[in-house]
Amino acid sequence: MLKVNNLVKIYPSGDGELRALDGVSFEVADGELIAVTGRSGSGKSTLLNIMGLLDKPTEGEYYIGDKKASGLPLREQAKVRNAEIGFVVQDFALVEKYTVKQNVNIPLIYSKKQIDKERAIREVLQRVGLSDKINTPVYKLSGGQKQRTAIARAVVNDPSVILADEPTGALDSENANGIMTLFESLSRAGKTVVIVTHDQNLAARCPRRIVLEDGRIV
Amino acid sequence: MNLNKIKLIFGDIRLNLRAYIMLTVQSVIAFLVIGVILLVSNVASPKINALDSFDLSDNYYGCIRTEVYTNHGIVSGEEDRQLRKEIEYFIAENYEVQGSIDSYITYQGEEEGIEFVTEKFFDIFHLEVQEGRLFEKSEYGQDSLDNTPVILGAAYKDEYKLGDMYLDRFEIVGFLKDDSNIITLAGDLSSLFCIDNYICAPVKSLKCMKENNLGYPTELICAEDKGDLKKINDYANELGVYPYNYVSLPETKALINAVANQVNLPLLLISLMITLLALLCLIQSMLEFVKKNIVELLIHMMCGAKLSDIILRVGAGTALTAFISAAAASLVFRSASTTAVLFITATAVTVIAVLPVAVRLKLKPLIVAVKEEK
Repeated sequence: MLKVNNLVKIYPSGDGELRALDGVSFEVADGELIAVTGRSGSGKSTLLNIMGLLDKPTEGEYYIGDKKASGLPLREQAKVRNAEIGFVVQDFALVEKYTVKQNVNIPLIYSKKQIDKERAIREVLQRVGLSDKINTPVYKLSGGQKQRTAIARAVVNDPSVILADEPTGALDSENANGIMTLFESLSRAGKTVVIVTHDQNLAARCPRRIVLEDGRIV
Repeated sequence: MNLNKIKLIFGDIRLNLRAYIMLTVQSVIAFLVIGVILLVSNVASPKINALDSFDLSDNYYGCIRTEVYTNHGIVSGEEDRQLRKEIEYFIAENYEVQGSIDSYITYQGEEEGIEFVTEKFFDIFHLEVQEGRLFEKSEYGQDSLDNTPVILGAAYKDEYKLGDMYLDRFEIVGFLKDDSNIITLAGDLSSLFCIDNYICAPVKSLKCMKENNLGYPTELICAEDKGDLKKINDYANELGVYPYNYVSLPETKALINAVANQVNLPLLLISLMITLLALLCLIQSMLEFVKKNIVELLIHMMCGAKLSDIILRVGAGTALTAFISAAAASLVFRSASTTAVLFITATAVTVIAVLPVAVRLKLKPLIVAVKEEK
């Protein structure tokens, strides 16, 4: 379960300040697939960065399961990011010079889990339909293939939470549909999936929606 | 650290190989200069330490340089050596003197060296015997070379034994300890030397030394101040020998330090500049690396890399550069102390170079840095 409790994020802006999040609270159950929507600048990505432990809230708390993740030291946060969270972002966040395998392997470099890493990579690439591209450099892949690689990387270390920031923003509808199908299957497999999107069609496929406006849930 | 992390580090180095080679060359030069400074310092410090440890009084003076020159040029002939002996006799007659003098005794047609030493010689230089005894007070100042005891340096320990007669004439009464050292008061030309090969005999009376045409030990002349030594130069002038220069213990130490510092200071400045330059280049190259690869680093952090993993990855190239350079320079000097100093320097350079990057990463989370880059 994910629990967000009264999150506030303030950025300094010129002489004043910008409240990117202003008291956001909600819970997400294990295996739930939810969409966080809202206009550009509504605070969606800020929320996702905080949930992904890439940024710190100014106020408020954030729990993953029973663990208060927002209060953890940086070192522990890195461990949680590695073991509990998988990221998928709009511009894929892949290392272009790496091969598909090298990209998928990144979380496993830092993982303490006792797993057969080679086997885990092969299995996850099979699930996203990229078995034949394992040694292909990422820059040679299409947009859809890149996003599948990113999803493979997000799940290779078997995290409980998948955070996706505009995952289909750079894809055509056919590829977007395929990616969404993958998220649905991950949810069915018990992963908690949080998708930040402004695509209403994508959000409509999620059983639950949270709408943000000016840093608040409406 | 697992194999994948090591692969990442070497992958980064391979991609920036040319820059790393340049930095390594620069660092090697910096470490070589540091090594040279240490070498020069190491030459000076044992002399100073020895001067401090021996019982040399501030009233002792040594002669330098001009003793080997006459009005006719550099001393070389028998006549000039005779002039020197005349001056030594004059000094011995008028001043308290200590030290040793190399003399030659003819034995079976060959000249064999013996060092005649003064009464306080062993005390001043803390010389002790490993076997046998030192000379007794009564054995100094004898009027004859007969029944002269000798103390041999440690090098002769396997060749002779106590009670043997050296040159069939001098009874061996003791052997000095290994690594026995003495020093001269000769300003920056002072040298610490080992006397393991000495054959020491107690100095005879001045009359006896004169009769046997042997020089007299005048390495250390005791005087209240330098002005008291003027009459030696007056006498030297009468004999047509250039005047002597006299240096005391404090002057000798000051001259040794001055010469070492003279060499050290420019080298130190050059070394500092080169090291500083190398350090700046290392810091710059690391910051460039972070800037160039910020997205990749963020991806690794997103996937669970800790800040320490990133710093290790960024700093590993620097550490490798610094330690390879220190190792290369150490091979040139082949000295344990120099190697230790160079490796400590390499560690310090790595820490100083990594520090700004670590602070930058710590103060500014990568997500913020990436947004700024974008």
